[in-house]
Amino acid sequence: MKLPRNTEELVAKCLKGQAKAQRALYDKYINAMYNTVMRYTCNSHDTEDVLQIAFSKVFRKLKTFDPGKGTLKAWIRRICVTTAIDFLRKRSIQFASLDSVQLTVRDDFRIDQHMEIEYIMEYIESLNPQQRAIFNMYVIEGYSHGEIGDILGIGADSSRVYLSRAKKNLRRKIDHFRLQYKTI
Amino acid sequence: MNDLQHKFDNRAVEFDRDVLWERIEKPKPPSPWWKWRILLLLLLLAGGGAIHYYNGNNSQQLAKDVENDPIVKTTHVSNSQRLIQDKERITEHKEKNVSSESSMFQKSSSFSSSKEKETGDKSTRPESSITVKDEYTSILPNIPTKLSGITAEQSLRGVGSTSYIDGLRSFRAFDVGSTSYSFDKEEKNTKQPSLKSASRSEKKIQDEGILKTGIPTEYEFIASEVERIPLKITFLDQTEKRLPEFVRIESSNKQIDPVPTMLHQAHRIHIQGGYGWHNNIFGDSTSLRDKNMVKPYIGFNGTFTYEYQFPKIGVYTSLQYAAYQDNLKNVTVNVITGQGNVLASEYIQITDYDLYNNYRYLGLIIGLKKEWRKGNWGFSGAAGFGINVYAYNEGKLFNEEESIVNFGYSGSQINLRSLFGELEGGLRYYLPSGFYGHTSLTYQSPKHIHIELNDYEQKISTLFINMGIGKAF
Repeated sequence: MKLPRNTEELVAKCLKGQAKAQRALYDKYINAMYNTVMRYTCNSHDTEDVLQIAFSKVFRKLKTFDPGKGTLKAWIRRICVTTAIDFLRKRSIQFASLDSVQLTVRDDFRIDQHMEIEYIMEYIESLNPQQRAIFNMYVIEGYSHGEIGDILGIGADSSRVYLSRAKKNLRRKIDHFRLQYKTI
Repeated sequence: MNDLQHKFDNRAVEFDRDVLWERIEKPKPPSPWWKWRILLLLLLLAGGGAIHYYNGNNSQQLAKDVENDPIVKTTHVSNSQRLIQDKERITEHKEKNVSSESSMFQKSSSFSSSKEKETGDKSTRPESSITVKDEYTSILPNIPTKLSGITAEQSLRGVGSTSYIDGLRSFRAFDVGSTSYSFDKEEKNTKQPSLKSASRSEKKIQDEGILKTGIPTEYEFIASEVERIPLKITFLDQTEKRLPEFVRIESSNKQIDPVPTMLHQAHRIHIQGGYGWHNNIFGDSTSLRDKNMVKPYIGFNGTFTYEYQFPKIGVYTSLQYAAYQDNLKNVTVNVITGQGNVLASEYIQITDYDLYNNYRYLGLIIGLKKEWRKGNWGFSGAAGFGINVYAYNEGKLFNEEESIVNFGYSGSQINLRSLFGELEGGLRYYLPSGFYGHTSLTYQSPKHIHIELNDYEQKISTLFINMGIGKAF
């Protein structure tokens, strides 16, 4: 069977239940989604569990995909992220609303784009699950605090607090790493 | 997408993609629309075939039973009994005047008929019997007490023979769910001309009895002959006629969107059918309708319907299979005058006929349907026309000469000229899953079937109650 040339054709064939089109869609996005989910779960076993659920949802809900609202990749990523969050919640990782008064952290942290991706991954994994999830959603996925609040069921300000704490921790770890690197 | 995300997306990871792929639930391609529809059709046909196979086996068994018991039925019709009682009374009156003179009874030549050879179905009939009700047997040793081989046609050819339709309306009822349908009602317009002539014959006998006072010989025969083409009456099990359980599941009252295509299968029940009146196509207007009091028996009937709903009106096409039996009851009373005697002798021969006939046909119908929705309920009216694409008839009936003739048998030539109309009113209940329960009342105009064997044209007008389930897509 000739593989679809564009996303619309791929979606159409997947909706018809064509197995090869479904596999093509899976192959096209699984690597990116694996890395996305991995940033939330931080272990391959949980990542595969999340991806199993997420891609099942993708195929089941594919008919609701609206190309006018975004790309297929972004739509699939959103499903993977929400599935990962649900997975974390089942592991008793709660995203509690935080008092906005605590929002006093200086927000001047930026990740060096030239930093090795493995190092960044290591830093992200060092965060606690709540801070890591919000850091991923805001910094990497590019969601707004409002969107993050909707996904996690917390306020946008709480999302900002979590993110500030995450950045503070990351800065501390990076500074510590640089200090060690210079010492060595 | 920012650069960081892009970097992460392209980050090389190692995992078994195939294993993960196998774990993911993929929607399977929808089965082709025709697959389960054909399955339904096959089920429909298989059900019909099974019932016919069952009926066939029981028919053979019944035939054996009849052969082993030649006296199947004696006169039991009230009118006939009354007639016989009157005749007995006359006989008693004459008995007082019996002289010692005897006369030999010779079997009337009216009992022999070349027709018997023509019909060629003698072997299939039970041995007929005539019970002699005779107080003079001792003085009439040669009088046969049992006459064999008398056919229905012979009985009809007796001198001064008359026949009447007894107006029999045997009670036939069956239940569908909690509803009962009865065939017990009388047909008010039924003509019974022969009944009057029978009374005249009786009067004639009475008069002769008075006039022949002192003449010793008068014998009375009560002949009973039953012609039976046995067919099993199939009363379906009640549980089969109830709607499936899931139809009764309470569902939400949400409005269901109109659906373009629907498919349903329904079991059809004749509430009128086989009321065939049989016309000789070469006759002018002699209808055999009054001579053949037929009643439909339940058989296997089914439809397989496909509908497509346009915005304002829908079209439908149905494949209909109908197979049923009807019962023909007739009673003939013959006054037979013996011949070859110096003294007159008269006999009354009463014959009950109980014929069972087979009808099967396959029809294709197309038409228009309009449905009005109210909540989950749908009310519909439909009109269409159809054509018979197959027919099979087997049985016997009385022709205008009051003789029994075959109107069809296996392998007989049947000319299908059957184009008929159909009107239907229906009611449906839609379930959120798309399934719906369906019931309707269908009238089909007479279907013409020309049977070349006897140049008969048969018309079958039918009225059905349909019950079934369907699926909307």
